[in-house]
Formats: sequence, structure tokens, C-alpha cells
Amino acid sequence: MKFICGIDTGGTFTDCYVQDEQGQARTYKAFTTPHDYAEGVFASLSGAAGLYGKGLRELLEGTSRFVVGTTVGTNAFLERKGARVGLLVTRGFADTLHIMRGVGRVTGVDPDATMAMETSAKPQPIIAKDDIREIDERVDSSGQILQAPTRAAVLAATEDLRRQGVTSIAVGYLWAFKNPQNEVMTKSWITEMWPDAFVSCSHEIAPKIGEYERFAATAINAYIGPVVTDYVGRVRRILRENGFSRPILVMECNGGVINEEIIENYPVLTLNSGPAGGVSGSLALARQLNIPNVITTDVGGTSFDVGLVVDGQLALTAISQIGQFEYYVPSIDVQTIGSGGGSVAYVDPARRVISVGPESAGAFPGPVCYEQGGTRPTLTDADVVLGYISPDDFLGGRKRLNRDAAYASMRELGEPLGLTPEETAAGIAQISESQMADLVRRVVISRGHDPRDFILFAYGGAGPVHAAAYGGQLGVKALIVPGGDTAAVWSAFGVATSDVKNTYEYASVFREPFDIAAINKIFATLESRASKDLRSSTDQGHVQYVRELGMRYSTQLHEVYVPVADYPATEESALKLVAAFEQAYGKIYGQEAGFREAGIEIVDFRVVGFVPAEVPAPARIKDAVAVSAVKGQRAVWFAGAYEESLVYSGAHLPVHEAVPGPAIVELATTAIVVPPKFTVTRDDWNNFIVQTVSGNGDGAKTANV
Amino acid sequence: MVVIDGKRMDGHKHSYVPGEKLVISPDLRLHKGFGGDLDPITYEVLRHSLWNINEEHGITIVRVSGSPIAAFGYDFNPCIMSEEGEFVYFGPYLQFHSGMQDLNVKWILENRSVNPGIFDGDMFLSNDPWIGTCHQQDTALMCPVFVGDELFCWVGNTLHFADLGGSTPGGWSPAAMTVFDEPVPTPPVKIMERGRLRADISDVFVRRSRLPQSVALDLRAVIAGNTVAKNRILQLVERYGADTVKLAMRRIVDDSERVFLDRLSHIPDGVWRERGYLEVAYPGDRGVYQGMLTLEKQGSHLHFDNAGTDGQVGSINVTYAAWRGGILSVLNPFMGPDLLFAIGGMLRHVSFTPAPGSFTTADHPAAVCNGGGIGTEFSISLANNVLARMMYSSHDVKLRRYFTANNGISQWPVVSLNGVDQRGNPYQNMILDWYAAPVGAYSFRDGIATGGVYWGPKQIAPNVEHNEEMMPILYLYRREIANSGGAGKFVGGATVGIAFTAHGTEQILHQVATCGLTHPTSMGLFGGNPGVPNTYLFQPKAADDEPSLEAMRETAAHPDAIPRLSPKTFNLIQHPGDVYVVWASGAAGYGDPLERDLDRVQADLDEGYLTPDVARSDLGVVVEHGAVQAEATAALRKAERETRVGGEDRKGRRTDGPEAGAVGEYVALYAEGGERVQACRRCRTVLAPEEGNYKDGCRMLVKEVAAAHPLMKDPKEFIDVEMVYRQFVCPGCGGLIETEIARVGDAVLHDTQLRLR
Repeated sequence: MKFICGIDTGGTFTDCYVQDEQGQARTYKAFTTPHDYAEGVFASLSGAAGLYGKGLRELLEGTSRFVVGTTVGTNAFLERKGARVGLLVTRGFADTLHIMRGVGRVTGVDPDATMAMETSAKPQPIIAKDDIREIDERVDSSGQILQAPTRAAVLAATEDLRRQGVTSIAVGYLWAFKNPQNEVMTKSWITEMWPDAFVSCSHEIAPKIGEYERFAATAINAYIGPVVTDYVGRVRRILRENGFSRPILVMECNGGVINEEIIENYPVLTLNSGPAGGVSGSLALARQLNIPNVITTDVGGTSFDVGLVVDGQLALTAISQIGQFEYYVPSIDVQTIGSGGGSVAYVDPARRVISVGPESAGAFPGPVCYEQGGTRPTLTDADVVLGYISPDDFLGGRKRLNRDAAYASMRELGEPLGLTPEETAAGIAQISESQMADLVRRVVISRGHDPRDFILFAYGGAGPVHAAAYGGQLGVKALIVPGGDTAAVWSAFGVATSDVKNTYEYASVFREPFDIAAINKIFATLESRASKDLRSSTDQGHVQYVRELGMRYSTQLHEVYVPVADYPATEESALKLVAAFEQAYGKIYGQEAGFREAGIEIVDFRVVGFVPAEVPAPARIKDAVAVSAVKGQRAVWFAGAYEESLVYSGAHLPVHEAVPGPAIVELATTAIVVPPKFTVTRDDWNNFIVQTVSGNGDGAKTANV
Repeated sequence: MVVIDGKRMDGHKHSYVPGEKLVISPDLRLHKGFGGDLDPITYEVLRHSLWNINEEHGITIVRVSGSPIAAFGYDFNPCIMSEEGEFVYFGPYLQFHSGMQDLNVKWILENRSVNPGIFDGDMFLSNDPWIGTCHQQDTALMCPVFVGDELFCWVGNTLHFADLGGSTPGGWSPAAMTVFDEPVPTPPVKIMERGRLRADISDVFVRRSRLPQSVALDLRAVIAGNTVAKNRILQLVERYGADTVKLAMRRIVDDSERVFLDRLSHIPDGVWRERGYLEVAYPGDRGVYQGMLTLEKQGSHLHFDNAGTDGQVGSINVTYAAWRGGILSVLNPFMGPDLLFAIGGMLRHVSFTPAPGSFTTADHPAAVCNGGGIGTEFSISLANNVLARMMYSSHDVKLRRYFTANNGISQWPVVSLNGVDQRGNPYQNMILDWYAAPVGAYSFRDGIATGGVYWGPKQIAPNVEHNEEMMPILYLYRREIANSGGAGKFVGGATVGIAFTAHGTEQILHQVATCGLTHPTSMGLFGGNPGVPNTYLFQPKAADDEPSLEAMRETAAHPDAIPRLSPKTFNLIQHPGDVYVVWASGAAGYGDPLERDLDRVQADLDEGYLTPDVARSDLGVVVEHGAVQAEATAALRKAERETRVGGEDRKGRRTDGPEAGAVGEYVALYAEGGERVQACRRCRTVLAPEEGNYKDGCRMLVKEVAAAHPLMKDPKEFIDVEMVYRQFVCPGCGGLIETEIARVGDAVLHDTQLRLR
């Protein structure tokens, strides 16, 4: 028996997804153990093994692919529990990471908070000013070395920092991406003196123009490096001790997975990898179902995450954000708002209306209905009152929810406004759903797309509950709750099934006419690096490459990534590239938004190397249904009144049979709410397709190809 | 429009100031929408959706324009207004446009509703400072949104265009003496007519520019922004009904009004004043000009006037729109930080009386093209202090946490470069590093080093590498400048400074058009020192040989030895090897520097924000081997307080009545029987009667203006007028109460006058 195995270490739970050769999946949830995350991994794995009636060793010896997704680095960064980092930087630029281009107090901050000066602040620096040393060195914009660093100066600075207690070194020199020699020399001197030092150089971590975002990526890498390395080491020990001898793969923010040894050098790749698993899993499913364009929506306890699959590819963003820092690492383009099951509803004193979020009750104290001390009503409480979620079947019946308490909290909230408890609950849901729909619309439109060309995937604990409401108003072709019972642990599924992948970048400005030979040479260099890294991660399959050029109009700042269709490039294909750029630019920024007369520049090179994951397709549902799918019925609030609605067990629903709303389809730890005038249909692979009755049938057909 | 002293404020000779009631053609039907109903849930949904529409509007402008001004500078702002030009939502970008956009809509309603008429599909373009922009580069595009045959609402935006003609590339002309030396102002013209771009009008506008393609592109961007916003509003109308959407709009404004009124109700009536100065109105001028701002609060109303401001002169002027915009840039974040930029409700209770012909509300044909860098920032810096002092007087002490002392770039340090770049192509550009300017001190914590100013929260400084890629320059440093913040109990954040040389070119042609070099323009609060003035230093290389990188770094490291530039420097030529140093004007401090906490001093020393000599001179702190000496500091501070008092026994009478109102951090009103007196809050020494000037009871220490900041130099190189720094000290305890900068002979400023009923 060959298993594939994915672990997703989240804030509350460590989820494990295991799938066998027949495509049968088992999932297990264990508690996350922040004092030693590896413990939670061990528990979750052991639990999953138990579901197959096996011991851990037996499971691991039969495992062909093991992937772990982790928020260890993210948590260390956000809680400022990383290493003490020393920074060597070009003379004159020690303050780059403190100046933060003047936007440190507003980066990633909600618009209404940007004006509130009382609470506005820059993030706490990750490197103290006292741990920064300026080095006499300089490269100019053409890559010419104006001054080389001296060994003596580098060693003196490093020794000084080491004596101060620094355990990790970052090197950030101006223009190092253009000519890395000064950084290369610096690193070699440091490691000569201090062989086990963790050294991060800016030309290696983020070879792109823009020193703030490049130094930030380098500093963050240095900061979380030792913590992530320690975590990976602990997981490795567990796996090796229990008979797993293949490469251990780690989830990256770009939606791929890569060998742990590479992660030990580039731990920054694990930041923001949380939402990447779900989006990556969506890509796998989209390919299987032959759907080109997907909007992914993940409604968790605290946040609502939106991502896109366009033309069968994940949209990557060049700049990432974490905790008010911006840094260069290509990551899956996911936009987030603080709207989820735990979002707290309150009466805005100024406006005397109900507002929801972004504050979340979290897992503790949690919603009122959890009865863990939470007193403020949340979206989850509204869901219980409205009949969307069964109070009896939550977490597979392991936890009973107190509907009366939720109801009372609605009464208390709504009464001063003249609202009944049901109106209050419906209002909370409606407000949240409209915020979700607004974010989806903004993400899709601002990237130059039309929602009508997309199918929307809804997963996460609360996604299937609200999908019809937020997705129904967008005009998408159809909504899909992917993977049935897997929907609530969709990230772990994505982690287990993602391609081995990494991105390789280089920045240099090329102006027309382009030097084709030089461009080909850059790609060749990037590919040889990619090949080496990917081969160390998997011995299966062929390495494939997506080559992209970041291009722009000379006087404009927007860079658009254009795939290089013909490779090696020729004079002729260069013309095609320009045309492709102009078309892509027009699509995103509007026809006629380009400024052709100014000339076109190539500014960035990107190679995405990947080896498609060899994952067995999910098992086809057996048609024969032994048990009735109808579990019963209950009153569910739709459009101003309770309607008696049939409640189905998702696991027993016959395939290809459209179930009309109003209805509820219950899945493990979540439920699909099917309002009147909607239907839900289960397909052969356990996906649930939600559509409006009057809606376009094409979506369903496409989804069932 | 209103009439002031017989002057018609109609946007022709004098700036346009709309009256209470607009005069609009009866043929134009306005959607009033008094029907419909709005439940609290739908309201919350619509509130959020309308905000999102305005955001989408802004994103569209950035996307389509793609110019560095829009994409880095975010020098624009979108808005949604009611049918009669009342703000529903304003955007989170440059805040001073807020004082201008509603003026355009009101002027259009009053002057264009008859001829050529206002119809569905129209948009009006305007860059006339006497109507609604701070300088001609900032161009407004206003779009009426019709539902049926009724004007439902307006959407609109203002964007800074890179070049709209005039005598100087980019439009910043230090030598303009009238508007005829500048980009041509255009009153609102119908550039979109019933859904179609008018080719003739578009050509007229584009033709004036040195960068016609860029202007054409920016024009497309602002049209696209309005179109997106308009269509999305119409979608809402279709789904929820016009009356319901209109009710939501009104309620957004009503809600923000109620919050504002609630805040005002906690503030006593009174009058607050601030004074500032601008120098060198044109090349060769050696004058210093006084600007005044008076805020009067009466009940639920705020009134601003600029009486006492000197007459319009040279190239330092702005019109009413910019002056008002500067004030609103402060009012929005200070008094309505939680209103999500729904500023219309506040504006129902704020009025303005300009002094026509003064340099902060200039008449046609004054030169106003530098308004976006000089006059608007000047207006902001004065408004900062009148509003902060007013808010300090509030009974609701929460309001004291909402304001900061003056931020940096209280004058925008123009560094305008022109020439041939490292690839042999001509270029024209500006240094935008100043968007990393600092935040001033709070009443309860320090300001924020390079935090970005509150009136432009999204504005972003380019990377050094981006600037070196776009221009033939080599930076020697970009850093936070030690000692640059104003001293105080809480200090202003450190400002940003740069040093660079020409690189990869034969020479660079520079223009300097700013103010605030000879004295600080970021005035402090309640005894806090001002931030560093704009600093321009220029060291030509000594010999023909280009100096080494080390030699240039060494030059830049000794600013005291580098010659200074005038605030209006024309055609300065920089060769490779010439070192140009510019520091942006800094952020102000708050409260008496001798009260600064010693742990904070130690932290500032450790992080390099403060040096031991300035710790001693400005904060009265003794530092030895990098460590603050508590005992020696206590002795030094005691001695300094005694020096302030002058050794004389001038203690005077002390009051023991209960506090009856806060005049400021250090002065309060105390009840004495039926009367009230102003006294020192530290020692209760009586300073003045209730409505008198507390400064009259203080000991006034008069120093050279250079004493206002440790990095300041003697201003006489550029001005003839003698400037002084006045410190007002409590004669009872030696505590510093307030400071001011003035020309010798200018009266002592009466900054706060509470009028308790």
C-alpha cells in the first residue's frame, strides 16, 4: 500500500490528510502544540495511522510522499520569537529596514485604521539598530563595483555582532541582485570565520530591484531561519525514527512543495504558506475537472481568503506582506479580510447599526454557543440560530452547541435596534456575506477578470455555509464545495497533493531591441538551479518549467508577467512577447492604458520549475447508496422566515441528482446551505455543485467533464 | 457664492466660496429621495459597498495611469458626493484634495447647469485654483450620476498630472510672479458629453503639455475611475432602489455629523490662533511673510479665518481651495479618525472666511503653481496647532490622544532634476523620498520616525535603487537624521535625509522652490520644540578630479562644513563629485523638554536618534559614556529651571480654586468665587485673568531663532528680517509653558482664549 500524507499545522489544529492508492482519503485533527509543534505532528500522524488500523511506522514505511505545511515561521515572526539577527549593509543605508519607505505604519492596515493616529505605529523592528553594521562597499545601477568590501572590515563587523549575541547574519548590499560579487565575498569570509553561521544574502533570497523589499526578505529569512530549521529537524527525527526515508517536503507560499534542505536555507518560503495549501489543492481539482478559471474562497474562524486560478495557473504576486512588512518572495496572490465564523458582531455606537468583525472570538473563548465563556455573538452563533448549522452534529457530534445561548445573545444585540433575534442573526450573516462578496469582486476585477468566467470553490469550516449567499450575487458560473468531507480540511489536502515546485528569479533591465542571447542565457542559468533543487526533492516525473518575463512600459510602473511561449527565444519570438505583453497589460489595466511610444522594458526574469505531483485521483463515488441520504428536517431561516428544510447527509447523497433548496447538506465539520431557488448536485468525485435554478447550466456541465 | 467686504467670491478675481444655498437651474432635476426606507442591516451593507466603490475608483486610477505620481505618490483622491456636492465618502489618499472637490461640484451646479447644462454621461474637467484645486497640476474630473432624468449624486477625482505646461517643466516655478508665468488654469469644462469624450476639449487640454501622451493617459485614467464608480452606484440603485441608496448616503453623512457634534459638545467655546512665516517669495527676495490662522468655536460650529495674513507676493501663494484643503487635511484625521473618510457631516458645521488678497487666499492673477508644496503644507501646519490646542481643552480627555504635534514636510522640499540620464535619454523627475517624513509627538507618546505624514497615509517613498535606475544619481546615504525631531516631554520622530552626487551623466540641472529653510515651519506644542527646518546643503567638488566615494561620504558626514542653498535656487548645476544634501523638515515635539523621561532618553541614545550633546542642550540630560546620569541630570534640570526664572522672586499669587477648564498642557482655568483665572497647572501661579493672554503672566525668554533647533543655522544669509525664538516660562516654577517663533517686533501671539459660558 502506498500512501501520500499531508500535515497542516494551523493555529488551533494540526490536520492530517492521508490518501491511499485507490484514492480513499482519511483525515485526522489533533491539537496544535505551540511549545513543540512536532508533538502535534506526531499525534496527528499517529491518529491518521490508527484510522487505517496501522501503527505510525507501518504507515510511514508505506508512504511514498510526505508533505508538511507549517506556520512555525509565521508565528515566530509575528510573536517576535525569531533569532537575534545582525545585518551587514552598504554604508549609508543602515536605516533602510527602519524607514520602510515611509509606509510601515499603514502597510496591510485596514483603511479605517490608517487615519487613527492614536493607535497608528510601525511594527516592532526585527533587527535592532545596534545590531546593524555599515560596510564600505558599493555597486552602481549598471552593476559596476565602485568599491569592494575588505575582508578585515567584514570580519571585524561580524565578530563584533557575534560578541553582542547575534546568532544569524543577514547581508544586504545595494544593487547586489545586479552584481552579487560583494555579497558573495562577504558571505565567504563570514562562513570561513564562523562555519556554522546562518547567513542570508539579499542576492540569494530575493534577487530583485528595490532594496527595502529585498533586505526585508533577507532579514526575515535570517530571523526565522533557526526556528524553522529546528522545527524541520524535529519532524525529520520523528519520521526517520519511524522508518520514513524519502525526501521530506515542505509547503511553500508559492503553492508548491520543496525538499526540507532547501527550506532550511530559504525558510522565508514558508511564510504565508497557510492559505497556499487550499489554493494549490483547488488547482489540482480544477485540473482534474478541467476547469480553467477558479475563484477560491476559504472561510475559516477568523478570516476570509480569496485566491485565483486563471487559465489553469496559480496567480503569483511578486511582493508579499507580513505584519506590516513588505518583502520580495513570489507567493500565491491571496487577499484576506477579517471575516469568519468567529467574527464578533456588535452595535456600532456611533452609527447605531450592527457591525461584524474584524475582531474574532477565536477558538477561545469562541462563539457564545460553544459555552466556553464567550459572551459576544459571532457569525457562528448566527448560523446556529438560523438553522444553518446543527447544534447536535458539530465536529461530528463531538461538541454540542447551545442554540439557546446563541439565541439570547442575538436578542440582546438586536433589541435596542428593534430587531428580532432572527432578524439580527440574518443581518449578521448578510453583512458578512456582502463583505465577502465585495472582496471577491474587488480581487477579480482589479486583476482584470470578469467573475462570469469563473467557478467559485468554497471551503474551510464556514465556506460551504455561506457560499450560496456570497457567491450567488457575483454572477459566477457555479459554486463548488470541493471534496465533500474534505472541504473543512481542504488545506491539508492541498498540502498533500501539491506539485514539487520552486521559483527562481533574476532582475536586470533590458530595453528594446532586446539582447536575445543574454535573455536565453539568464533563463538557462535559472533552470540549472531549478533542476538541481527539484531533483533533490523528488525522483519521480520530469522537471517542467514556466518561464516568465516581468515587462513594463518605460515611464509606467506596472510590471506584468508574460509567459515565454517559445524557448529558446528568437528575434521573432521577441516580437510575439511584446505583443503578448501589450495584450496582457491591456487586459489588466484597460485597453489604451499602455504607453507604447515610451518603449518597453524587460525588468524581471522568473522561472517556475515544477514536477507535477503523482497523486492518485480521488476515488469515484460508488453509485449504490445503501442508506437514505435524508437525515431529517429542520427550520432554516431564508429571506425573512423559517422554512422547513430537508437535511441530507452529504456522504450518502446519490450522485448526479439535483437536490432543490431549501435544504442543508451536512458534511464533516461543516454544512452546505442551499437556499430556495438553488440546487445542489454531488458529482462522481464527491464535489458538491451549487447552482441557481434559473442559472446557467454550463457550469454544471463543465464541472462534470 | 458669498460676498466678503464687497468682494464677490465667484471664482473669477476672487476664489469661489459657495453660499449656504446654491443657485441651480430649475431645469436640472435633483434627486432628493425622501421616500423609501432603510433597515439597519441594509444600511450596513450599503455603507460598506459605497466605501468599496470609492476604493475601486482609486484602484482604477492607479492601474490605468501607471505614472509614478499616481503609483508611488498616490497624489490623487476619489470621492462620492450627494446631488448638491456634499461629501459622502472621500478616499484614503492625499487628504488636502478634500477641501477642493466639493467646491468644483458646487461651482459646476451654479455655473454650468444653465449653459451648457448638466446631463447624463457628462463629466467636467477643471484645474482652476480659484475654483477648486491647490495648483494647476492637480486636475479634477467631476461626474454627475443620473437616475432617470434626475441628478442622483456625483462621483469625482483629483489627480496630479505630470506636466500641464507653463514656464517650468513640471509646473513648479520658483520665479513665477503671476499666474501668466504658470500652467493655464481651466475652469470646469465639459470634456465628456453624454458618454463621449469631446475631441476638441481633450485636444485643448493635452496640447498645453510637454508630455502630451502622459496627459492623455492620465485623462483616460480619471475617466475610467469615474466610469467604474458611476456604474457600480447604478448597480446598487438597481438592486436596492434609488431612494434606499440615497437614504444610506444621507445616513452616512448624518452619522458622521452626529459623531462630530458629540465631540464638539465636549469642547468649550473659545478662540485659538497660530502664526507662521514663509521666507523668500521669489529669487532675490529677502523678505519674511506672516500667515495667521484663527479658529473660533461657538457651540456646535467651527469657524476658520486667515485675517492678519500678509498680502499675496511672489510664488508662495495659494487660493481659498488649497487653504481650506490644508485645514481639512488636519480636521479629518484629528476629529474624525473613525468616520471612514465620511467628512460631509463635519463640513455641515465648519465655515471659512478667507481674507481675499492674502497669500494664503490669493486673488487672480497671483502665482499659485507652488501651492501643492508651499501654501497647502503651510495651511496644514497652522491648522495642526489650532486644532490640537482646541482638542486639548476638551473635557473628554480621549480627544487629547487623537492629535499629534506637527508632522514633517511642513514645507515640501522640492528637489527637481532635469537633464540627460545614464542611457543618454532626456528626463525630468522629482525626489519623492519625503513621503518617509516623520510623525510629530503625541500628548502621551513620542512621534514616529519616518512614519509617513497623517495627511497622506498611503504615500510611499521610492527605493534608492529605483531612483538610481530612473535618474543619473548615486546616493551616499538615505537615513534617519539624528536630533532632527523637536525636543519635548515627547519628541518628534526623526526625519529622512539624503545625500547624493551626479553619476553617469555630465551634469544635472536642479530647481529649488520651497520655504522653511531659515526658520522651522513645524511648530511645536506646549513648550515642545519645532522640528528641523528644511535643510539644503551643496558642496561643489574642490578640483577638476572627481573625488573618491570615501571622500564624498566624508564630505556628507560633516554637514556643518557644507555651504547652504537658498529656498529659491534656480538652475543649480550638479556635476559628478558635487555632494548635494537635503533633509526634509522635521516633526515637532510636545511639552517641556526638561520633563522628558530618562528611560526614553537612554533608548534614543542607544538607537542613535539622539546624541549626548543635544541631550544636554535640549533636554537637560547629563550623559557619560553613553549612559544617562540621573543625579547629575536632576541637578542640571533644577539649575536650568532657576536660570529660566532668572533668579528673581517673581512667584506672585497662587490660586487654590478648583480647575475649571484646560487652556493647555500647563495652563488651566481655576474658579475663584464667581471669577476664573488662568494659572500654571504645575505650581498654581496665577498668570492672567480668564480671557487674558496667559503669556502676559509668563517670563518671556527671547533667543535667536537658531536656538529653536540644534541643527539650525543663522538665517541671515538669506533674509534681512530678524527672527526670534520666544520661550514662555512660569515665573513660579520655571516650567516651560509655550514657545513661539516671530519676527522681531511682532506681537506676542494670544494662542488660546477659552470662553466658558
